[in-house]
Amino acid sequence: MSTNDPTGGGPLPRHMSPDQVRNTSFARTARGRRGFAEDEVERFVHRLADEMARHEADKMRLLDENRRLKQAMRDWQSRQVADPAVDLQQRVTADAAALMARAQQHIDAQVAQAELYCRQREQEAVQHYDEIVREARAQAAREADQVARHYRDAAGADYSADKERIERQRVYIRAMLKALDAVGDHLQATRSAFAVEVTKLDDWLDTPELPAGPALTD
Amino acid sequence: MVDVNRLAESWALVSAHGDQVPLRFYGRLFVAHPELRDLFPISMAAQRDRLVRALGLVVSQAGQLEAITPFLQELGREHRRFTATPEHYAAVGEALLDTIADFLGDLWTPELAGDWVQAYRLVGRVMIEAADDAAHTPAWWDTEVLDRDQRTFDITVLTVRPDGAYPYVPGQSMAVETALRPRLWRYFSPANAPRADGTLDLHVRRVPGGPVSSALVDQVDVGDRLRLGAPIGRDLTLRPTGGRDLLLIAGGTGLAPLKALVDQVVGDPLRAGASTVRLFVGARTVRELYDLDHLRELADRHPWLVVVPVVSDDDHHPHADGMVADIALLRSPDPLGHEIYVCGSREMVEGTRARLHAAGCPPERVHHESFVGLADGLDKPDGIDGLPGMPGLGTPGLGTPGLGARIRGVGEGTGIDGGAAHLESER
Repeated sequence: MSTNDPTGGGPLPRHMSPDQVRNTSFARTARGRRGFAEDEVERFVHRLADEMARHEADKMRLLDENRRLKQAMRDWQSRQVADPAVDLQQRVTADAAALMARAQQHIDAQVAQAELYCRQREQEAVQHYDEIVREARAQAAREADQVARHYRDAAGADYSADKERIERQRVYIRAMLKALDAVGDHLQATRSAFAVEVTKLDDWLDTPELPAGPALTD
Repeated sequence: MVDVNRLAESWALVSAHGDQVPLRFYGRLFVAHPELRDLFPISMAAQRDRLVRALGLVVSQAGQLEAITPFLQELGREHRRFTATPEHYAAVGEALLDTIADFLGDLWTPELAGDWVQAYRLVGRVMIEAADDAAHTPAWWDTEVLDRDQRTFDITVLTVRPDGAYPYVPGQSMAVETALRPRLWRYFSPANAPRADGTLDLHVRRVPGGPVSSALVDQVDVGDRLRLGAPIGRDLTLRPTGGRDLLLIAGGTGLAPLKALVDQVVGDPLRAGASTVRLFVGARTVRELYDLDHLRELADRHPWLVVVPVVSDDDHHPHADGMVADIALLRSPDPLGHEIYVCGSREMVEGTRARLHAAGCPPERVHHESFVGLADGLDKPDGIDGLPGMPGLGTPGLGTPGLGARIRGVGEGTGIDGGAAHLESER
């Protein structure tokens, strides 16, 4: 037998490699004893060795895959343990940020509404003022025309263009003053009403249990 | 190196979400740093607009940030008013990255994060360094109101005195804050050259619905305190004229800086090289020529000064009738040979510039500045305000050619020469 003697000598090796199988040689039978055809045995041994080699390769591949899978499993597990805390924190922060953003939008809408209201009131006030002045001027001009006509009709020979002009202006100015006084009275009344409101607010602000100061002017 | 295209693409995706982006940004910033909320005003709508426009600008210039360096520097200096510290910049940067990551989701990669971090660091560094360089000067000046003169029911002239020396050049502006409207700043331009007593005249027009201008016009009284930011802007300061006469065209309270220029010439024995100064003052109605008496007095005292009031929308008045730019061109001998300064609302300034251009005035001799609603977009030739989330209001002069007129506070109101009563929101 060859070096790796499977049949004689020491104990069998635990795993035979394909090469070991190929290199195994067998004792010949004694003359006249029945034995197997040499070349058939040869062929079979080689086939066996090839099978073994194939299985060896498969085994290595499966072992490798198994190793990889085990590692992946461990990785995933360790991720599951660390991430929940981080994920939760990130989710909480994002939620808090979104909540704050919604609150801010609410405030912005209220401020925008207040500013729009002010803008509209002021525009109305300006338009109103313009109308008042225009109307007052028109009215004053009418009165001046009327007086001028009366003067012309009454003056006859004593007519003087200068005198007409002076009469006209006098009446015009008087009419304007009267109109503006009326507006002034109206504004004064409005002013008084506002003054009352402000006093009420001041009293409210001065009430001890309420925080006064900047918070209310914001 | 920042990948500029990648940065721009990511921003395009994010900014498509509109107002949600800055809403989320400030949400994140204040959740992480609640103490920062007090640096900002109650209503944040204007602030959000500013942030988005600023980010858009930085992203669009990311390949050549040097182009906007002067702007960033002035912005950094302006932020000193809000007691911004380097730690604040870090907090803002974090919130910014988190916000962009929120909106990009799976598209947020380490490489992209690197782009944003780098871009933000560059911007922050320029701003912080500029602030540090200015650290030897006050971040703001406490100021006392010495006089209030309400000229019309929406225009008041306030005379104020800053505590301590306030070094400015006629034509510059500064941000102003009143305790009545905390953390809301509006820009104004002193209507006088520096005086021995240190006082400044501010021409304030009430913008309908505007919180600051209404407080300044109606409520601020003698003895009240204001805060002023540092003087900024170079668009309207007097250039050496090379012997050319001055043509000053004012719309509404745009008169203020131009009056300061006149004041500067008054105090200059060489009269800035000009032999004549022509000041055309435009208003919609006679009533709104709020400084006429004082201007007439000035003109009476100085024969080289010509003041022409122009009224566009009124009847029964003795003044020139029409658009102030047209009258200015009509009544100035050789307008093309003048050094021209224009100030007013954006409509008025743009309309005036167009007319001057059509008349053949060389653009390098037309110096202009307009005050506009801070809500206006970047496509207008005005500056922008506020960079990464800092409570910045108003823009410093951009300084670089082609970046146009600076935004000034709408607290000055809208000089409404030009016909249309363009009532802009004061934000």
